[in-house]
Amino acid sequence: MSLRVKNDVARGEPFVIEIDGEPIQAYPGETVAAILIVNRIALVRTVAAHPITRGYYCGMGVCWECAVRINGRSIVRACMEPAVKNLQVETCLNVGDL
Amino acid sequence: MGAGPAGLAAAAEFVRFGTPCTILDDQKRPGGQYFRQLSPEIQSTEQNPRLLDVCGHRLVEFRCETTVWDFPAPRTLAWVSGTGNGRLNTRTLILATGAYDRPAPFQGWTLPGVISAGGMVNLYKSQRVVAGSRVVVAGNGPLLLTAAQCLFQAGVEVLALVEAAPFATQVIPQFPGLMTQPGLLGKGMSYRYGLWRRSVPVLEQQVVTRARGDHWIENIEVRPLDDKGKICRERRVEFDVDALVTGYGLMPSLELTRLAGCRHSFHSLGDTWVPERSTDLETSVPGVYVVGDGAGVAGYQNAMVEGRIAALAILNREEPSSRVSAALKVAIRQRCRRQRFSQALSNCYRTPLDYSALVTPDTVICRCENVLFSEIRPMLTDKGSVPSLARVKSETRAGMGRCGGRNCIPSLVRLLSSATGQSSETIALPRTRPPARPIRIGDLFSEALPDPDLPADPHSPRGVKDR
Amino acid sequence: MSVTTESDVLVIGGGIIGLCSAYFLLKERTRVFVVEQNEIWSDSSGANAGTVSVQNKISGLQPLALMSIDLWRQMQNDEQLDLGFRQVGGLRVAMGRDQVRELRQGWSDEAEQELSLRWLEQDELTKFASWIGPDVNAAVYCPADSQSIPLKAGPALRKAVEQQGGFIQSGAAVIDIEPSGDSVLVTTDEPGRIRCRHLVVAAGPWAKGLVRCLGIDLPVSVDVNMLSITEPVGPLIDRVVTHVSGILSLKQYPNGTCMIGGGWQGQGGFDSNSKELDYQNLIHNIRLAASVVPGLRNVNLVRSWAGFEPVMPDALPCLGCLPGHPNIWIATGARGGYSLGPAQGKLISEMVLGKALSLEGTAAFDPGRTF
Repeated sequence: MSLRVKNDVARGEPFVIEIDGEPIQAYPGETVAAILIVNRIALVRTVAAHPITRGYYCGMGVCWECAVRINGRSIVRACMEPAVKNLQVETCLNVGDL
Repeated sequence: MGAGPAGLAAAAEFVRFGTPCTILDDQKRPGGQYFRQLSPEIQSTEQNPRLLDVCGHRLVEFRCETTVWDFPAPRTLAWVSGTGNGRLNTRTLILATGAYDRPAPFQGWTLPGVISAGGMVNLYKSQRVVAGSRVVVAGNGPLLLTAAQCLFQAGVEVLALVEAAPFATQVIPQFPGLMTQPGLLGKGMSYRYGLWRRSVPVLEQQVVTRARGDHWIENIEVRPLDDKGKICRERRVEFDVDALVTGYGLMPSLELTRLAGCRHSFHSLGDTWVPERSTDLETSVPGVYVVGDGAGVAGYQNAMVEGRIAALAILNREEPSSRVSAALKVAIRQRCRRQRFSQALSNCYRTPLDYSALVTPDTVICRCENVLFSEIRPMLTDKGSVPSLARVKSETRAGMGRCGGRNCIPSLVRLLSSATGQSSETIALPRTRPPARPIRIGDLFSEALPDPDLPADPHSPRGVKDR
Repeated sequence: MSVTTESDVLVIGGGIIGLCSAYFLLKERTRVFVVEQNEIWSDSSGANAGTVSVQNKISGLQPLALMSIDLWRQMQNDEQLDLGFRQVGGLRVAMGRDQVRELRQGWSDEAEQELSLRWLEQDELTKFASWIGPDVNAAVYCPADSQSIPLKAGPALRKAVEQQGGFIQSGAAVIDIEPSGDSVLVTTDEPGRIRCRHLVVAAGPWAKGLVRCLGIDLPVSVDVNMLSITEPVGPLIDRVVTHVSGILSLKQYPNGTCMIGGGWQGQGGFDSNSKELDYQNLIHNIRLAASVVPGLRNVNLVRSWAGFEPVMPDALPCLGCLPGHPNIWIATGARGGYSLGPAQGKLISEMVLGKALSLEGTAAFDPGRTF
């Protein structure tokens, strides 16, 4: 079953974003977090060089568990980040490998 | 501050009496959590509540995607948004920043696919997306019913609702209190009926003790509680799931009330600190009011009437009028009824569960820094000298991550309270430090500031400022 | 009345200087008792950026700094104390013509020799440290400059002191000091009494109040330094950064978080016991950091706070015995006292035990000097 609800919902034309180099379909109005969930993409990152697996949790922008890097620059909350055409998302925040 | 039910109701009151106001919110659109709007690009026949329209009124300045991160002075707030940063001075301030899901760690709760109840509701409301197709909804509190309802509307198979409270036996005595809000009571009953109609097993006085899976959740274990709250290890039920919705109630977000310097007192029923308020809902800081779930969780109806009370109280102060003070009196009476309902509802959901019993050595306590209970436990074993929360934080890094301790400090309080044998109230919290939430350094460049007051140059003798 | 504890040495203050003093005294099999009014490491040492550098010190402190760096390294590597000490090397930066001139004025052939300094003009600097921004016109690289992790150093030193038989009492403030013959009787509010043959006052800003009852006026002032830390990010800053005018310190910890400091002043002060941030100074501090390391613009700030730093008028420590009290010692007040902690602790231990001092020129630190 698709995790995108169809009942009483009309979405616009899909477009493509890039998650970890892979092209992934997105619909207008979706956040990066929703797209990660729909595609069952877990966020594997490191904390002080120790790998951990995380995902969307609070949905309101306070837990930062959905943190991803966008367009090679800032770390943002996927649940607050609107998907736009050609957005580049990296789920793996390798930090602390110092 | 905050464009949820409480903030919007306050704004609507100001508009009604012809007074301009400014609303700040960190989301793109008003609504907060309870009135979270569907993205405009996604169409549905469901209508938004009219209350949201207040943000478009000419008397209301709505500043979205604006994060307030500190209070440099009692009624001066520091804000940052994608377009820049600055400070805002105000004569009166209504904080309506709402609540968030109380963290309740258990083995495997950090697995992808384990989503908070609020998170599941937001996902559905804002984008019509669900987290899984075989879902269990578990925890404690009325929000679980709302989450289940969203899943039903989405056509998802809800395998069970696991509730830590013996709700069925506790609800009947609460009917007098619940009847003060017949609309809400009816809604709750229809949600329960929906579970029954779909033959969803409701497992009461039971808890999820473990979530298992590789990179995504695959399976959960559910165990019963005895009347003392002890987990019966011998009995268990398992479910194969691809998502788990977990919610153990809400807690008020207090970062801003603390940064604003408000005094707080401990609310033992809610097991949380709340800002002290007068009957007008003003805090210990003159001119600063707190309303809604951000002052103590009591539902959206209560939030709206509190928003109105604060607005009316402020209007009455600025320009006393019999019309305003009459409306204020009515609102205060209404709030009493809302509080009574909310109290009755809380009583329905009382659970004997000892949250610390859910925690195993490999349970993640601090999600951000991945601090496991096994790293904290050695500090708790000497009853004679249980460390302060500040020391646990500095030695394990728990509470130092991006979430600012929201998802672990409450758990640490409970763990320390268990270790000392004293109530949560005695556990001193570490000081709240700005920014209230992480802010991008590059967003701090736009505000024009006077020339800096440079630190003393170590190479020049004290008292001589060479710049 | 309560029992009087006997000890060879009582150390007042559980910050870096107190714990290091205890540590070095314990190595010589002295009985040491440490008394701390709050929690170990809860004041200046715990609100510290952890820079352990020699370049950012005034010339009068550089020999002490070098001695201290050696001790930090020894404690970390040879004695297995997990202080988070790493000798990553340091860049002292200059921005604009005036600052570059000032940087050059501080340069000398002897310093170059002694510290193996390297002068880096902008183009060489970009090759050496690509993360440094174009606003930086020149920098001096010093291989000895290092960093530590204050959050780790405190518990590590405490553990080392306890493991070597030292006794630490927290939550006990000293309320009276009474010299009595060849010993000193100290009363705390715990309540407790300790008689010691030597007293070491390593109480930072509180030293002034403590020695007043001995008739000594210590002109120590207390700065309110602000610090900021970011979220963890990938490798961004691989040297410790200081500034020619002392207004910036930057480093990245192994867990990826970046620490921004530099002594920008918050509000409050010792007398009101308040350590508040100053909004404008904080923003200036952060903007300066991002102009030196532009990559910081894309990084999220997670927490800012302020801590006390006690400083003598000439920025040199009071390190020695109090005038008229041959068995009461004081160690406090150096600018950059945290990085100089191990050296101060070692010297105090040598002074207390009457041993030869590991450093020359300590007369400059005489607590009885004219300020």
